[in-house]
Amino acid sequence: MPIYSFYIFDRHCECIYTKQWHEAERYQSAAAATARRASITSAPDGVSLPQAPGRLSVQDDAKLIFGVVFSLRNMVRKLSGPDDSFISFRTNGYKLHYYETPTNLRFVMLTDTKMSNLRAALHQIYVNLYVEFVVKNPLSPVEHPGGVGVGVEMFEYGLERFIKSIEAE
Amino acid sequence: MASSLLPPRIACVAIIGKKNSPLFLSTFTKSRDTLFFHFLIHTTLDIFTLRLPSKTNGDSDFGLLYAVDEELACYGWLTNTGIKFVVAVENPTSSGGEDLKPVFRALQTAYIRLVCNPFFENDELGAIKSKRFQKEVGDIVEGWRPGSRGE
Amino acid sequence: MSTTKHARIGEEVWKSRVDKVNAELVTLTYGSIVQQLCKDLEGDYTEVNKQLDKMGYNIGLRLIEDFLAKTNMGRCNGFRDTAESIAKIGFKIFLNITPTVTNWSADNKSFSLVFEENPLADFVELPDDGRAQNELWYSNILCGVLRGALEMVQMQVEAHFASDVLRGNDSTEMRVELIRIIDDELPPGDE
Repeated sequence: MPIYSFYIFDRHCECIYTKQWHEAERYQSAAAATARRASITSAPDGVSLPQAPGRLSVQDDAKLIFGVVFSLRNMVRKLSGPDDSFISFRTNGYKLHYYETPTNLRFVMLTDTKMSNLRAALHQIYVNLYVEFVVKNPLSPVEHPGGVGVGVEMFEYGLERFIKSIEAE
Repeated sequence: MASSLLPPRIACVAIIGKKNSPLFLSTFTKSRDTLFFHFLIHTTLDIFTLRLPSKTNGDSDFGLLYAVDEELACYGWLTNTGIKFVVAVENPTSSGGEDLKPVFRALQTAYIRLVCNPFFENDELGAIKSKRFQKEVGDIVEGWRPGSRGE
Repeated sequence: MSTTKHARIGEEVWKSRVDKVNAELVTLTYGSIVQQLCKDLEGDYTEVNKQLDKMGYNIGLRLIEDFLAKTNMGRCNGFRDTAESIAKIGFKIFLNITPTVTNWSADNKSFSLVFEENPLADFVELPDDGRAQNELWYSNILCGVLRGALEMVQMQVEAHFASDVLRGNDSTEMRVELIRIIDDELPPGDE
């Protein structure tokens, strides 16, 4: 099942890492969902992807997503106490998975709507990839303004493999 | 002589550096003065040098270096790093220094603890001033009970 | 969480999830850092303390992530819970010691950690220059580590040593005080 994108936000609410996959499928499935059974059978042969109207840049996407998870998280906490946090939500087009560490690092992943819960997977990315290759890299800065030091080779490589293994499940 | 009935006692502990500089000397007897031991320890250096080529078993123990008289004998121990430990014993037994092995081991352990202190200057220029080391050596000497006397 | 649970988590993580390293290597490495600092700063022990604290702070900022990754802990339930976690899990998994948490202040905002053993200070004998005994906090890096680590989980604390066996005190005691809970940062206003 396809995974569309992945974001990490640091404790200063800044997006320090983004990665997109399956651009085409994502917008197709969104389009398909909105068009309700409109038959789109195969991806267009041309290079131009079906651009959703008013599509935003990756940075704006990230900002928007952060705004949503941040408000949603605060709302959940207000409703059911400070220890609660939301796990995922779903729209017609995608499913958003959320994991937050006690150090206020936030991991967000957008996937196909039928994907099962990925909270554990996000936790694994934190433990096995982020902590191992980013935090423990003595040459990388402690803070990552503008994402500096996060997208290191080992991290990218590990993430790519991990994503493939989830998609294959 | 009456003295032979007295139990053996450690009279002096000395440590000599790789370059034969005196690092540490402490006496535990009142019968002779410290200067005497300085001379005594100094003379043992020749024996270390003399015996070293024939020492092939890799052991640190040099055993009895020499006996001054019936009442005093020197025993030696050389580490692979060239540090020499010398212990002078009053009223020595005839065991040839076998009794002293644990003492030398304890001294070496104390010495290792000493050099592991990050503030210790291991330059062989000055004498060892550490109070803790001083005390540890004192404890080792006090605690020594030669096995041959069955104590 | 009960205290025994903390101890159990600490034990478990220590056994199964921590890479071990030779203790003397750590002790000697730390020792040469402190010694070199003392030399470079020409015996200005107040400054040495400050530098050690700063180094510790930078370690703490990272170490907390490793701590969370290894223990899979959630947020602590109050400062007392935090203290127990530090002593029974944090110190256990990183140094294999368990200091005692004691001397709570009436407002539950400060406590002491009493160290019966301190792997950093093995072999150490402070320089006998008449000042080190009064001015140098040999293990001050630990204060910095706590400060850095707790700051990352929204707790601003002040930590300092109150006594040290190296100085001839009866025990080694660190005082930790909660200054404030740091509010979550808000995203910058929408442009």
